[in-house]
Amino acid sequence: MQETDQVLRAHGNDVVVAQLEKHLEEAKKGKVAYAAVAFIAHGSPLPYHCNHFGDSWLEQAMPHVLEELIKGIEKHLDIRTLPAPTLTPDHVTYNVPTGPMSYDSLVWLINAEMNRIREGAPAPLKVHFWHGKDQNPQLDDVRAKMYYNVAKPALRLLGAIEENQEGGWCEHVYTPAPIVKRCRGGEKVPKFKAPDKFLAEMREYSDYVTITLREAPYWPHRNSNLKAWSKFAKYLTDKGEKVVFVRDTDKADEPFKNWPICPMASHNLMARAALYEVAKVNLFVSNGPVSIAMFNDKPWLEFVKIEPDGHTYHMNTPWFWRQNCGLEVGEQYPWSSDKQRIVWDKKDDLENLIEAWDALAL
Amino acid sequence: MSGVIRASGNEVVVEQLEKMLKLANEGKMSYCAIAMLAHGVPVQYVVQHFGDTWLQPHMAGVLKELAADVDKHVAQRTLPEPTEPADYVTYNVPAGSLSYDFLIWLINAEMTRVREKGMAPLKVKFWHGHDHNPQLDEQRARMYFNVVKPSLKLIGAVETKQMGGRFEPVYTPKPFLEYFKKGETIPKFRAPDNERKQMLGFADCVTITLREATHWPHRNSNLEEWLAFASYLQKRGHRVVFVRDFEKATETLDPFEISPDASRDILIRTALYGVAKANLFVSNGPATLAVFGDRPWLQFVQLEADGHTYYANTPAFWLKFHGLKVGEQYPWSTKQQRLVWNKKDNFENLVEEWESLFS
Repeated sequence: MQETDQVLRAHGNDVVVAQLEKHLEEAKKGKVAYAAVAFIAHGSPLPYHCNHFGDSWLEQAMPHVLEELIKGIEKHLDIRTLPAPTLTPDHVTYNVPTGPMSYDSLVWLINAEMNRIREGAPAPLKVHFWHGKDQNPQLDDVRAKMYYNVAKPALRLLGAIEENQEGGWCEHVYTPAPIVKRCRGGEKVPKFKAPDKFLAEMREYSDYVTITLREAPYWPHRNSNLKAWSKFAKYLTDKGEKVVFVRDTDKADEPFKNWPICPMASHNLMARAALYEVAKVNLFVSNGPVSIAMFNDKPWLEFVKIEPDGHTYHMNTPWFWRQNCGLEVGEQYPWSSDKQRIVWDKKDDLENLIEAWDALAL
Repeated sequence: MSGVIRASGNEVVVEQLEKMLKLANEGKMSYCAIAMLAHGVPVQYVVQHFGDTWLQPHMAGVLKELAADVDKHVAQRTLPEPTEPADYVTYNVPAGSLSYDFLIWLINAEMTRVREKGMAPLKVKFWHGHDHNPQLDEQRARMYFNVVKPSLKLIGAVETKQMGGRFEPVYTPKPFLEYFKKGETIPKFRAPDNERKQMLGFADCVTITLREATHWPHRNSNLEEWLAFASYLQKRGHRVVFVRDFEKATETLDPFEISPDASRDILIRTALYGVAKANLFVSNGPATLAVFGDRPWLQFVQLEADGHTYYANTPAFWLKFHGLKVGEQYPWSTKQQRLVWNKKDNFENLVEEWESLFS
């Protein structure tokens, strides 16, 4: 893992800081005499902070102004609020402007498929990608990349198809807690299956150990400990295993020491799913692509470093896991085999990697 | 004068926004909504919300809480309905202006009393809010105790503890123009006899009241020009007395006289203005004493363009709150009581206006 002394910034924080700096510059011009500010952070209960200050002479005007601000926000929300569903549960709608554009869309897809099956609707699942009432899908560079390279292609992993028809269901499930609950209640959890063409292409990696690296510029504290994983790869090869690394998309084609890499899997979701499906075992730190392994049959390990409740990166806190993944620290997904394991609260250092590998007892 | 001209409250806004930015820079704040207001009619404002839209559905609730808190603040400082006749008035200390603007409020209250035939004297209750917090910082406290409270004596009013008096938020003289037109008498400020006697020795002097404040420094008196003008007056046989700003009350301006007592004590100040040959000002609070006095006065009003940060010297403000278009005079003023519109207080202008005052 790359060590950093930089401030960890929650989602949206860089925008908040940049905009506040602009407002401060405006205030420094001298005219602004009264202001009100409200902040919200991720967490539960939702941490927030609000205050109003300045010349109280203007205070009486503020409630009206805040009302306008609230209306502006409500208008934004309305534009991105889906109409009530009118179709059967085999038709679903993904709310692109409000929904995550990440591997979380895979969890949404699994949940939608479970709903279809539970409600007895015919296959295949038909997915409409809705862009909001103003036809603005809110796609910046990063979101656009995930939309076109992950969210849309992922339909094929579940035999779903895209459609243009509005009126489908949308359950805002992007984390597995409801799936955990329904699985514990007896429902079968669907599995991802890569298309045959990609399985054929990845056949050469049959019985390889895949190591998926997280090497992202955001939340760098979550990144893989490259040195440790490299040493661990050596440990594995010394034991006769074959190892292939899947680098982060931005570094897909860059060599990683002298280890085999699979750039195609980094770039292409189908190839990635196929690789994980033919591999002997798939190894991860806490990262989006693990969602593919979570919903297939091959052994996997995910090293989850837990942060204390209240941490800026709230998604690896015990609270988040309980609330959103349906698991207490130490528990495993109920559909996982005994060779599909979250390795709780252990750093991805060599000692822990070896210990967890040996415990798999393959 | 260099530097940014800051609206009232702007320093607090900047300071607090800097704190907010520091908090945001800790990394956790993901979504933000902001409203910024500026003085003006109508009030100018900008609103914006930004950050992780995932949190947007929660923001409306937070803002409603914020609005409720603002409402609560306003309610704490909202006077109960009046129950007493018009000779009882209540000054809302936490919400009201604590400055020479109070003198306008007092004139208005007295005119209302007279119009409604309330019994003299006017009885003034100083109300400190439902939470008994008069919101007195150092500056406001000084004005409260040195200007606001003592000024009752200038109009024969007395302080009372009785609640239930009226409160009309009038701090600028526009309504008086209408009352005057209808034939009402505009009350005059008069110093108590004791202070008048004390200042009789200054009879027929020319007072020059300096504005030398740290806030809104662009409004300050042009000291060098006024000193040159004082020499000009002296050479023509006039006795000149400078009344310096409170903070500089005792700092000498040799070879000219100063009156530290007038700088510090509103009753003495009024007495001085009341015995003087003429009282000269830039745009500043103490001019109010002269505006509602009998002696000749000149006030140099340097206008700013509409939309300027210092809203109170824009044509729009003068029209809306003083009832005067640029170039007009208060209707109760004499020919020797004049606003000098849009002329800098430089030597040439000072001489020109002085000469026309007594020509």
